[in-house]
Parts: sequence; structure tokens; C-alpha cells
Amino acid sequence: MPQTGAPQDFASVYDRYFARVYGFVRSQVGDPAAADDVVSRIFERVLERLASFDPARGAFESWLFAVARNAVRDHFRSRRQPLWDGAGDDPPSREPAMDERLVAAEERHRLLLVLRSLDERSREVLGLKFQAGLNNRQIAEVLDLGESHVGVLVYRAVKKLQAGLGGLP
Amino acid sequence: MTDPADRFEADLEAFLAGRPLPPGADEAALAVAARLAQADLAAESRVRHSLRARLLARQARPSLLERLWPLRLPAGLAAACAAAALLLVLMRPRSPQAPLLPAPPDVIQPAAPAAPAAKPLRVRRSRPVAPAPEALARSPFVSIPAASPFETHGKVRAGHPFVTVAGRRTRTAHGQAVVWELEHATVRLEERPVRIEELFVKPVL
Repeated sequence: MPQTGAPQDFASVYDRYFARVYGFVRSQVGDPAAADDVVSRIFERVLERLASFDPARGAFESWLFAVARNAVRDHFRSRRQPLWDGAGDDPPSREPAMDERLVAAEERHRLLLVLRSLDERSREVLGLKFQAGLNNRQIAEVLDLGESHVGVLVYRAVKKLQAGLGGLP
Repeated sequence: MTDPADRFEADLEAFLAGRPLPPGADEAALAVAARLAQADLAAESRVRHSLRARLLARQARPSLLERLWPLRLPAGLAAACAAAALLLVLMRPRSPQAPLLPAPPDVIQPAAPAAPAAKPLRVRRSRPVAPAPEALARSPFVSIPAASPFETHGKVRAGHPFVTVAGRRTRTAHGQAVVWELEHATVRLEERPVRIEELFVKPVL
């Protein structure tokens, strides 16, 4: 499927983008069940609006992740709480990982723990860059910012993430 | 390329592609970025497959309009049905009118001196208000004696709505008053001080 074309097959869109959409949403939302809920709403909207997507107005991925970003913001707006305050999350496990799955889960947990301590803009940029897999130009389209500004935001956000991970055991 | 952000972006592309890094690259920050890029957060999803099945089933299901389309009527018949429906709406009977209140108790007192007529009011037609008789019997309120009589000029038929012919605002010794001229009666609503005993019934055992 071309990235800038107008995909007609919802199944292929879902299969191609689910992990990236979920990864972005999960990096913004502190609860996996809430992330499932938000992702469900995103793909429902995509299903409804896919036929009306106009490639002349922008790349498909920029459109898709703009839908995802709006859904995340709607989620927090409807709950009337700040974007991911981390309340209710468990602390990262200190138990030694027993197999690869546990190691991966522990790594996810550490990353998410630090992500939640970052400011909203940094978390958004990191999610779009490293989970959604967008380049700086696409992120600039989604966030309505300049491309060079996005580059600066990514760099600063990575340094914040690095500092946060350095403070973890 | 002197900007650290620009340099980081260039080094990141090389790092993620497995190419050798130039000297002075911030390898620690690049490693952190790679950790986040390689983290499979989607592994936590519990709806990935069920959501796909649900949405694809919805996509395959025709909409209501698409399902009704084979049942579409010929244009002439559809227009006739629409006209019939419109006619039924227009001919819908109005809600039944409630009967008028029973005659008020004797509340006639000496009439106040006639106040000078003021400019006429524009009063709209109104429907009669008729609470249920049992509600009247239980009501703690009593009628307040009016300063002027409820003048009738004929028999008011039960169930017939009051029709306002004219209205005007006047002044009395205690304040303002409004006079409605109905088809069969004249009603005055006026301001004046009352005692609490005039408002409520005192039950006596």
C-alpha cells in the first residue's frame, strides 16, 4: 500500500498499522485497557472515514496518526484528567526476568514508567517518532509544527528519556 | 551540520540502519532511542484480533439504506405515501381541552376606586387551567379576596376557553394592577399586601 495513496482495503490498513497505532497510543495512555479502548475508537473512525480520505490533502500516515492523536486527546478530555498522570500504575518490577517475554515486558514497563514522567509534548513526539514510525516531516504535519522544530523536540525528548532511564535501577 | 538536533537525526538514521556512526556521535542517546523504537508495546493489546473481526464484520454488513434499497417503491407510489403521511400529521386531532374551574368562592369586596386607564396590553390567548378536583380539595391554599369583583357578563360554558378581548395596566392604592377583558368576564390581577392567614388554610381538628 503506498504511504501517500488512498487505501481502500480496511483489512490491510488494520494489519499494517495496528502495532504502530497501538504503540503510539500506549506511549500516551497509562493503562493498557484504556489504550485498547482508544485504539478501538481510532480504527472505528478509520473504517468510517477511509472512503472519504483525500490523498491530495496529505499523506495517509499523517492523516491516520492525526486521527489517533485526536482520539487520545478526546480520551483524556472526556475523563477530565491531565494527560497521563501515572496514577494507579504499578512500580517497575525488581524481580529478575526469567525468560525473554518477561524481559520484554520489564523493558516495556520501564520505558512506559519514564514516558509518563515526561511532559505531554515530549511524550507525543517520542510516540510518533519511535512507535508510530513517522519521520520528522510527517510528525510536523500531525502536530502542525515546523520540521526543524520537530527535530529539536525529538532530540530534547530523547535526552529526557535518557536521563529518566538513567535514574532507574 | 552543527546543530545537535540535526546531527542527532542524521546519526539516528545511520544507527537504526546499522551503518557505522561518525566520531563524536551521542551513542548513549541513540541507544535509548533504539530501545524505544524496538519496544513492542502492541504486545499488551487484548483486542487486536477481536477488534479486527468486529470491524471487518461491520464493513461487510450492508447499511440500513443498502438493505432497504431492494424494497424501494416506484416514484409515484412513494410520493403518494409521503403525501398520505403528511395529511395524517396535519389531520391529527388536538389534545382534548380540560373543563374550566368551578366557580370561585364568594370573594367579592368593595370595589377599589377606578384607576386611570393606562396603555393597553397585548395579551395572547391562553388555554384554561384546570387542576384535578381532588388536587383542589387537598390544596393548602385558599383564594385571596380580590379588591374588585369577578365580573361576569354572561354564562361561561364549561370547557370553553377564555378568550381575551382586551387588557390594560392600571394603578391601585397599593400598586399596579392588570385588567383582562374576556368575552364573558373581567378579571383583575393586582398588587396589595396580604397576611399569611389569607394564603393558607388553618386545619382545625
